[in-house]
Amino acid sequence: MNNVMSRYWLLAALVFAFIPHVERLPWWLNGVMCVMLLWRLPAIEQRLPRANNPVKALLLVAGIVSLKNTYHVLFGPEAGVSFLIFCVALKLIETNDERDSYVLLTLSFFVLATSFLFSKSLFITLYAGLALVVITAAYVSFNQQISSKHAAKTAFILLSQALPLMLILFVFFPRLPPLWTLKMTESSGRTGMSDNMSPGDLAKLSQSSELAFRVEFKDNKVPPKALLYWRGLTLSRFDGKTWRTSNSPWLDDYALTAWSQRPLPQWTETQIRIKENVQIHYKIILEPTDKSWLYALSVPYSNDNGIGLTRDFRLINSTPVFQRLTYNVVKFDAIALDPDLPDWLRQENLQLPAIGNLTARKMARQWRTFYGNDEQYITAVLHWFTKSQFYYTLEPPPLGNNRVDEFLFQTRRGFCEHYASSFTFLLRAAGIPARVVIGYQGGALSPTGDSWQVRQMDAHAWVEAWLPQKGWITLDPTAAIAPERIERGMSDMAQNQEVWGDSALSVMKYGNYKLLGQLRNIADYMNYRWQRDVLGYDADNQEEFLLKLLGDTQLWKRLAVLFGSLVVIAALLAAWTILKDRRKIHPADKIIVKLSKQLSARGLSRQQGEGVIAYLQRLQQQQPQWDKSLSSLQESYSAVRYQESHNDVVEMKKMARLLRTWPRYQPQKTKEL
Amino acid sequence: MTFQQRIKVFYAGRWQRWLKRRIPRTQDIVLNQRRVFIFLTSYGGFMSLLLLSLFIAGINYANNLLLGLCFFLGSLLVVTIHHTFANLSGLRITVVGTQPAFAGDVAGFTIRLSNPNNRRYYSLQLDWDGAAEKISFLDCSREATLYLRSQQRGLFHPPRLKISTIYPLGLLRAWTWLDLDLTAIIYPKQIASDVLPAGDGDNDDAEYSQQRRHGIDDFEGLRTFNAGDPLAHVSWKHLARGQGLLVKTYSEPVTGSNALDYQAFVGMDKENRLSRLSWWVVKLTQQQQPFALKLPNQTIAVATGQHHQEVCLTALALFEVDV
Repeated sequence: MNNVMSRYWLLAALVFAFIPHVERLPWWLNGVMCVMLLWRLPAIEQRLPRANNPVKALLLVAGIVSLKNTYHVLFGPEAGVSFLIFCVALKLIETNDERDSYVLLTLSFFVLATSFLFSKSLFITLYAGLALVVITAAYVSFNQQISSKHAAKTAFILLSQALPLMLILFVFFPRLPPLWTLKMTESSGRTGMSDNMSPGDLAKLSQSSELAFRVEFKDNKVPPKALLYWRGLTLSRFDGKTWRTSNSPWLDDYALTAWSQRPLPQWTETQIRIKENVQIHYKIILEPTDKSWLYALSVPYSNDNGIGLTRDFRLINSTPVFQRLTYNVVKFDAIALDPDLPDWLRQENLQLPAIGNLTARKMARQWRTFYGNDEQYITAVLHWFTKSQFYYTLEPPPLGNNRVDEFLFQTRRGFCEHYASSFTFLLRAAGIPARVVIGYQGGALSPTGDSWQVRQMDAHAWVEAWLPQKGWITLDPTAAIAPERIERGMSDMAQNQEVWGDSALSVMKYGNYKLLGQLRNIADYMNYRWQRDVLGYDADNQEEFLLKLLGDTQLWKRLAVLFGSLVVIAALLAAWTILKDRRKIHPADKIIVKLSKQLSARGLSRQQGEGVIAYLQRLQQQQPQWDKSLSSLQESYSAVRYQESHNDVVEMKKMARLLRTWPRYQPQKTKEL
Repeated sequence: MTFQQRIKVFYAGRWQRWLKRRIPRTQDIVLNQRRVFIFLTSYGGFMSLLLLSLFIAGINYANNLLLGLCFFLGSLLVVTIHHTFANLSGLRITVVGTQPAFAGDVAGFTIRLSNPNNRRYYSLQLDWDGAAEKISFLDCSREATLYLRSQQRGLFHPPRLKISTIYPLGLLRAWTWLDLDLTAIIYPKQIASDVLPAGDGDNDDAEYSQQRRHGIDDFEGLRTFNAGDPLAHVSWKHLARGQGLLVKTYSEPVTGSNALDYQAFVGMDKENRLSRLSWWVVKLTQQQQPFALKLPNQTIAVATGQHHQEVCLTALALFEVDV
């Protein structure tokens, strides 16, 4: 390959494809890629030796071993993409001819595409658009060695013309079901809830506006927002730091779960008392979580296949949710859940670490004794939370070993996780069975008003306590401290500086937040629309959108519109290529062409390569009686075509009139020689 | 001939006939959709594989961005069809001429490429019977000469000229096969020979020959003296009469001994005779010796010079050739 310009374009294309991955790749792979790119710079390449085969083989082996050490597997998205990039780097050092360069360019499209496995933001998509122009320009640079500017311009034109076709395909192309199920690994980077509550987990989620699930309430009957506690998991094991799900064999029992379309187990009869006539029907469209638990309002039941009601009144799916899952739920109003608490369950929900947090334990025992019964004790503690200087913030100060004590009596700054955790501790220490529940709280009506949307930022933790006769009741200490969190939702909470914490950094963050408030709102809104309309454009949304657009669900009609619009665009492009062929003909020349056509029947058409004036003079010789018309035609033609100052319009009209009133043809006698 | 070969020949024949109907032999042609074919290159094939894998990944991960990229690149491929086609369509090819050659050497075929639509064309590839030329940029009329190796004496009509382009992305190739009405004359291959193949016993003819050359035998006439003329030729008589300094000129008839005669070779086949004659024609022209050429059906009178050489070689080239 001897063209320096193409080489630079090739390297630029690779750099653009590679950049989105830099953050995620192991440092040594970034290093390898940089070295390879620098090595192939034309200026450097000439001074360095070529890598020979043993060196390449050695590099390959070293790379595979390093990848294995970094990821422990060679499959899965992250390891796979790293391997792909490593292969590109190796291919780069042995690239010599045009063929290798084309392979590399195609691979750079692929590398760019794989970045969508990890990030689907609007930003990365816009960036990919830019990278596409660069890679396409690199393709062009291999086919014209004129200028880089021309290559970039051609690439831009090509892509702009492809854009409308792409949009039509995107909207109309039927979304097919997956060909096979892909199991993403734990490290797939999916934001969502884990099966335990470690410090900081929920705060991290609160910063993501990604959609968790959508809800469609039947007849649009949405319960008050403050009552929308979407239960996910109950956590009853506490080690002083992390809350985990119960490991009791009872709760884990498959037979204990009330699976849909199967006979209900015994406990559902005795432990759930519901008001028969109060039911709310809704449908949840859950984004993939890679977990098997589902979200629902208490007390739920679903008759959809593969869904079960667990002993702690949650819904679970028989398999992890790797694809978007839609399930129908009925919400019953409970009179009492677990009116008689079995002993094993009581033990489970009274468990506390053997040591630590002595102040809290002591306070719980004293207060319980003082207030006499459970309910008054609970009210007193919640009241204490409200009255004392507790703050809701996403940036709480770090806590030590006695987390509950330190939080309750020293820092008093935290968010739902801290409140739920310490409140449950206080309840258990006072002998009241209690557990932490994690899930989502609230949500927001979609802008179109047709569904209810719950986002990751709505992640929440709250408490369930068991009282005799009443059974399990829902308590939310966060609501006591920051009622607006529950009533208005998380996005409103973010307007408040205290939420952001009071370190210097937080103040700055808040300042930026306010300063860029308007901008951020726009960006948020765009991001939100992006998530909903582009990333979330699935089979259901497509169905809905096309129904709105075409007013019909028939497949043939959709395909007709799809192919029809594709054909129209292709025809426009074809017309463009054909019309581009046409040379612009001067209107004066058009008249001559017309004349020539008229006379062609008499064999007097203009010959190929014959000048206009020469043609008119030839006509004059062959048909002397046309002399007058021809002279004035020639005069006008010369005036329009060759003279600077003249009145085009008048002359053109004159020519047109001459053509209309052209004298008759007369056969000429052949001259006697 | 095996069955397979028969089928191959059958289809090759049909294909050639179809091509002949579609793009007949021509001297001047403007490429249009009837004459341009288009298909994926191997790079385009590789790209299609990429698209397929993106599509499957997009469906399986339910990833709309992957699907979108797949659609975008697919659309790019479709748009490129038009651009690649447009980079050949509208191109005008005119035959210009040929340069003759000796059999086994390369003969030049010159064509003119022009853009009557004033459009720019990039990276045109001309492939013609083993010869190739790349035209990286064309924005006005230009000529291209391709040198094709000739096989045998006679008229050389080359196979179809392939003009192709993979501009702008290299993913698609548009091409055309033109049967250009161009024929080069291929002279017989030169073979050196020792004996001048002069016609023998033709002196009688020489007596009556109209062709004469400077010689010493027969008095021809007088002309004014030029410096350097031999003194022996000065006509002293005329000088004495006071008629100025004149010289006598002499001439001699061109005899058969300077005629290259096809019949002079004994016991040789046609091609060998022609090859040797070819060599002699070139040799005598180099030595600036006038000669005539006698072929069984044709006699070329005595002359010398480049034009004479061409006439003679052409006669040799076309001698008993089925046209």
